[in-house]
Amino acid sequence: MTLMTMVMKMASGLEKTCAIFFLTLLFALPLGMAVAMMRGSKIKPVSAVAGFLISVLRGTPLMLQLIAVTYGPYYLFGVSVSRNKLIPVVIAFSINYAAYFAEIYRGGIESMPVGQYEAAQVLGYSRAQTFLKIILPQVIRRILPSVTNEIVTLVKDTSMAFTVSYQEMFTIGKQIANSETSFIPFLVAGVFYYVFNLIVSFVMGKVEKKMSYYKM
Amino acid sequence: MNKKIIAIVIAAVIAALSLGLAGCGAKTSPEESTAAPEEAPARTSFTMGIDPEYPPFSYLGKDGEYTGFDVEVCKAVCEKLGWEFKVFAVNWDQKLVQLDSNECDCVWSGMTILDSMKEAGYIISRPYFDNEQVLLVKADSSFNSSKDLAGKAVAVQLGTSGESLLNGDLKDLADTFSEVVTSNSFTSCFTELAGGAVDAVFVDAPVAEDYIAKNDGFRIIDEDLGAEQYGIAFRSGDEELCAQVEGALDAIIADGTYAKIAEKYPDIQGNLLLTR
Amino acid sequence: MSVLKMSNIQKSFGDNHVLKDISFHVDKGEVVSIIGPSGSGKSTLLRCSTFLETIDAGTITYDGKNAAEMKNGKCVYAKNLNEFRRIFGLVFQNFNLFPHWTVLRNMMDAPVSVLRRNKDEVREECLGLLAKMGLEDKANAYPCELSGGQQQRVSIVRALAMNPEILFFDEPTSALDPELTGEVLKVIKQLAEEKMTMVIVTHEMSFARAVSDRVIFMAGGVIVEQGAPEDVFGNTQSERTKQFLQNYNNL
Repeated sequence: MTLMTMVMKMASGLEKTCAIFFLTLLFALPLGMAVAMMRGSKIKPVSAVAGFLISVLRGTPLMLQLIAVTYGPYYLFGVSVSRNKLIPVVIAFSINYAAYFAEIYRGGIESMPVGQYEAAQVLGYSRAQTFLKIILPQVIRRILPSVTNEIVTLVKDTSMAFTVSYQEMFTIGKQIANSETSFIPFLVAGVFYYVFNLIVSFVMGKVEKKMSYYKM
Repeated sequence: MNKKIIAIVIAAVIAALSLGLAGCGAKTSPEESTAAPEEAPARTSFTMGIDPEYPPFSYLGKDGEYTGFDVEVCKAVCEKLGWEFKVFAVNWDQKLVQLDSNECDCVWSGMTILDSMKEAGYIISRPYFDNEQVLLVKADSSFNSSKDLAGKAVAVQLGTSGESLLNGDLKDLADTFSEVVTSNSFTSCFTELAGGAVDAVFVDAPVAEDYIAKNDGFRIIDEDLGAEQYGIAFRSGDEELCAQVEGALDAIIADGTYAKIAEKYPDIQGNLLLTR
Repeated sequence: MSVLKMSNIQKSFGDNHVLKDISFHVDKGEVVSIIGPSGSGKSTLLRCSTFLETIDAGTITYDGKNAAEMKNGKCVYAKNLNEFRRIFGLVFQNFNLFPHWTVLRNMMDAPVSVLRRNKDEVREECLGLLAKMGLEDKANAYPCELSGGQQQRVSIVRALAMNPEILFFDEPTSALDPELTGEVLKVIKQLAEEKMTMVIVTHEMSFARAVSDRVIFMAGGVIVEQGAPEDVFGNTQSERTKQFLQNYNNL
């Protein structure tokens, strides 16, 4: 197999890698906010449940969660394993990353000076207005570097979908590496991930720059 | 068009990287060769590399120790040679790399002998088992030949001869499947089948038979899809080690130990080659 | 009629009894300064009157309506507190401008999205206010681009943009460099001349004396003395007040 064929073949799996990446971001970013709100809730049981969920999701390996989401329903309830593996893979990735994002959001929200809330309250803003118009935009600016970190990790973590036999780029790379007894596919995979993350860093850098029109 | 340009760029980077790696390799090798000529100390232990999820040849027994036909035979060989017996569970699709990096002294785990292994310089023992590749399906399914699986999903373990076949001699058959799902162990292949994510598993006959014996509701499609043989792989240059192991195998066959072990595995007994 | 009337206010933080039975009122057009040593409870009193702290006991009345009152021995707040909030504005010690908004947005957003007023009308009004303060060229600047004195002036016009009946100042010059306090005090003085009803917690004694209609001296959670500035400063009755003012003059 020529290097070109190898790269083309692995590029065909890149589509699935991208699907995991973008769908996970699409679901995990808002889901994380919901979990962060639950975590910060004044209702004790809600906050406790969210805290427990976060600690379990952050305290167990993503690989285990992938297996649990994909095969768990079959072993526990006899529900068929999904033929389209993208579904369980994205579910597992989304809840795992939502837990990490939730902690980042919470940190960002807690770092906001109390004076911002007080000023909004005196001016008569409702709680929702205060959060959406005043707190959230500033929180996003504050947490952007941490979120970028997580996104970079997500790019690399997509390779873990192999655990549940999802044929993404790295899985194809492993297949070629095996059949060709060659290390080159791993180098190709490395370059793919690196370039992917270069793009991510570039885009996030732009966003950060765009948001830094004011100082805290 | 764009894809092609990206591919070319990546290919160029890879080429540069590999050259760099090759350069590093060239620098270090002379030191290794000066160290090599010293007399190797007498062997005191022997590490077999196994796929830990490959019953009945190698698997984790109920007592938590690795067991199976291959494991028991290797244990007997080590006893015969006075070596300490050790087991190392390899990542099956990386087994030869792990052998090369001295993580184990051989790969001995229902391993199909492939021409590519010999071409790559690995020392392969005499074949000891006649194997065939079969399709395992659910008992209540309507599949009776490989043709019935057209448009269906089939699972195979990454790095097995079955996977090589589907990419090589059986490529035409594989192309009729809707998808070939590669998993990292047969356990997950079987889970995919049981859970309904795939319609068949392409697998070595003894493994399929072992699974049927332990689980209800499965059957094998009666169709010979590929005959092959199992052997033991050693590192290039380990001819002497291979000969020692083969000698010990002959010895335990002669004293009846081998037959005694084989009796515990009736499903595979018929295909054993060394005792014929 | 009094714009604000607070009666028998009690407030504790844990074991710390900060406000002990405070009663006072502010009439329309009146400027009241609250002075006193640190920890005397004057800032807490201001935070209670703006609902940033909840009182333990007492009555808060704005324009004759009770925002907080005693029912069966418990202090109960009105349900529609946001309607009371339209009556007053508060200028913080640390400005608390919204850093992600321009000066104009800081001023305009609350009148538009809280009071639901017409955007163009509010813009006209806000630009007029800025011009009056000499800040017209800062309308599109972000708070981080302004000096502390300018930021505090912006926070004053932000409060004014809501057209409050009464304006509270919580040590408005304490976070400023000494050379910047003048511009802020000038603005407050200007408002006093326009008969804006104001309550100012301050450490600027000469300013309090010059601008106020009435001065309240607080210490240890109670009002020790109050009256016209010339009485409190010139004809001090209480020993405690005398001691405090003396310490100040010695500085």
